[in-house]
Amino acid sequence: MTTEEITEKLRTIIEPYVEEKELLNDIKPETDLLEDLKINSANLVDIIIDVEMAFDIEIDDDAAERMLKVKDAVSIIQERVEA
Amino acid sequence: MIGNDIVDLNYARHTSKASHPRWAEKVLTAQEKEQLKLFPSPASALWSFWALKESAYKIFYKKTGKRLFIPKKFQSSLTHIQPDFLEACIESPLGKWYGQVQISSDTVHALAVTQKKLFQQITYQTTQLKQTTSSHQSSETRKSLCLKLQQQCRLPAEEFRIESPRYFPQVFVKNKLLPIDVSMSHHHQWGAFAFLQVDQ
Repeated sequence: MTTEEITEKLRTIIEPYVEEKELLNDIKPETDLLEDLKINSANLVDIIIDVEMAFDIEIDDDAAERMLKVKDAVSIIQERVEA
Repeated sequence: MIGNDIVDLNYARHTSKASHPRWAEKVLTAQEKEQLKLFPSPASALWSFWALKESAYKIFYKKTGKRLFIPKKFQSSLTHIQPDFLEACIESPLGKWYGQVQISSDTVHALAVTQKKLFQQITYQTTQLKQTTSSHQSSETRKSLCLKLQQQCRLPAEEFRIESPRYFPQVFVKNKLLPIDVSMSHHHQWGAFAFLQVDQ
């Protein structure tokens, strides 16, 4: 999968957890999931579970810890999809 | 030092996958999963563990400036269990801390402290918010906190500023940082704060 395809799929996964939908209009690799998209930390676990199911991968604690920005999430997903 | 966290149970019920078996696997340690079995209502117990971990994480962040999103690194051992109130010891990467949780039909609200005696000095409040966008959640919770500080410190509410120059809230009066340790939290329809005067 290309970076763009992963980013688009990730955006669909994140969307239900973003209360202010206009924040989704300007997603960049540097976008921080908590600080910029205002996702509640209680939903980060939900997003990780959704990502695991959508991409059929496993995200362990060490990888979850690094999933702070969109680019981190995309690279973690890409590594596992290609493994 | 203190941290606090509130969970809107009605909102969490509709938006979270907390009932999915993978959720508990990712959030709870083996010991916490054993303690979860003691509860007739697993949902509020699950969120109580979560809120304790988040509260402890807020202390960790204040102390280190490091983001550490591994909920299992903050393990709670419940030491006192009532239907509406829990006490816990929290094993954090920085040592042993303490927690309390108030449970209602609408929310769970947790407090974490680095020393048990601090529980007696904490002022805290939970508030039902009028609007649920994150900017409103934050500003309404700040406003409630300023009003409470005004009552306790006898200064006009407009003189307080709550700012987060180090990515956690701090209290300023006319650009002077006050020795007050604060923690703010919000989740959908509920906001909460906790604060205590710091010995100098």
